[in-house]
Amino acid sequence: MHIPRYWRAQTQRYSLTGEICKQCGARLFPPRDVCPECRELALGPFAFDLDEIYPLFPQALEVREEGLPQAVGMIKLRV
Amino acid sequence: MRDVSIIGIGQTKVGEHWDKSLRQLATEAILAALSEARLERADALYVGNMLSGKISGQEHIAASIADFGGLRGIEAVKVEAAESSGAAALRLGYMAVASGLMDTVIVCGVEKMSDAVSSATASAALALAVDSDYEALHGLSLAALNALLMRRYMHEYGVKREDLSPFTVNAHRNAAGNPYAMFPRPVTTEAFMKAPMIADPVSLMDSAPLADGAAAVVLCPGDRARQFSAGAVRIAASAVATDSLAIHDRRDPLFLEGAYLSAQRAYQQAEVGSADMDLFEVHDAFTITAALSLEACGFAQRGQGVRLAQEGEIAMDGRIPICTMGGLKARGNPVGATGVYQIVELVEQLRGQAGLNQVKGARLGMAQSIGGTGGTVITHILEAP
Repeated sequence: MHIPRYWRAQTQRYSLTGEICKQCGARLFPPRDVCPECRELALGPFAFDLDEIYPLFPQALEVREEGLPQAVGMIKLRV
Repeated sequence: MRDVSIIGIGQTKVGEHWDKSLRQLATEAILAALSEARLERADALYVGNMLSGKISGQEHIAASIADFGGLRGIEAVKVEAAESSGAAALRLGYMAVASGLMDTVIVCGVEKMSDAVSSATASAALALAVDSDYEALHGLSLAALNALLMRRYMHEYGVKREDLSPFTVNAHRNAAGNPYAMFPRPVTTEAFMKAPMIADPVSLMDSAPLADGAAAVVLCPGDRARQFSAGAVRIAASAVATDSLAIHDRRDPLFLEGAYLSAQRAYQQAEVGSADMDLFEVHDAFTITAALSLEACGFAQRGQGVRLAQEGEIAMDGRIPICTMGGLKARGNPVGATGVYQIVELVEQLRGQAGLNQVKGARLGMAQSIGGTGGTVITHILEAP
């Protein structure tokens, strides 16, 4: 993986910053350029908080070579 | 728009073809399909393939296959839509003939998985179909993502792991009658329960085996079909729909919106409903995928797809026979070719040439091919001659 791919995702990955649509108010994480709800382009930053681990999603993986076993799950964000 | 018919089919056995290259496999299927249609050439060749660049180190395969298959000079293009690449190639061929731009088109799906140096390479290649930035980056393979979905499904609907075994048992029972299947032998529920885990709760027996294979069909306008073949099968509907690549972006991870939209568009075009189908070639890349597809297409209520299988309704004599020639699980899953295999199998059924696996009186059949965890879903409905 090239370093720029991590670098450009710094804000969303380390401070849970997504976007809020200025048109319809939809809160989006991960951030995107077009609002999937109203297709508006006017999006601004929105800081999320961790709410809870979405139950029963944690998952042990076997496919990664490093750092096994690794747990991956889904989290719910507080908006 | 013109009606479009399938006038020839061809397929290689699915499996590990160490002695054959990607273009040899494709050529074998194409020549068989052309021979059935009593044609030497066609106006165009559309090739469905997902991984030739990653696994065989060869892109630009449509021109290569055209040349190798004795069709040099023909219009030839490769189409990629992850695991639904083969179905996408059919969609392109359908559009070309329906629009009047082409009269005869060859559609070929081909995949050569055994060129991968290891199963880890193959698994990583397949993960190209999921969201690279948010899923694959964290090591989530297609199996791991389906494990998330399966675990959530089990939690939401009170389903146990063994409750999904009828999908696998049914697929293997049907493959036993298909000479082209990779695993033409039955398996038991006990074998299902003892299978090693790939990504808990997805085991080897929930997961379709990656394989080599090629399948091809020849298309022509419906009003000319009889001059080529007495067993021409009409394409009553062809529909593509998309959803987000990443499951976290979906309104409900347990509802395949792409499958729903794709099926609804197909039903509308063919002016039929799910109750009119005599059989359904479902995309059973994982047992959970089959359950979710059955639900999204209207064959079962939400959370009831597994029950449908448990009650025997997916068997040959059930309400909606699925995977009638073994499905992805037991016929084998030559990824980008799978969508065309499903079509070849539907044609066999609708011509009444499915041998031991014939669904009695089959008139209308549906095939659905799914890319990634549901990012692309392509549905075709075929009608008997």
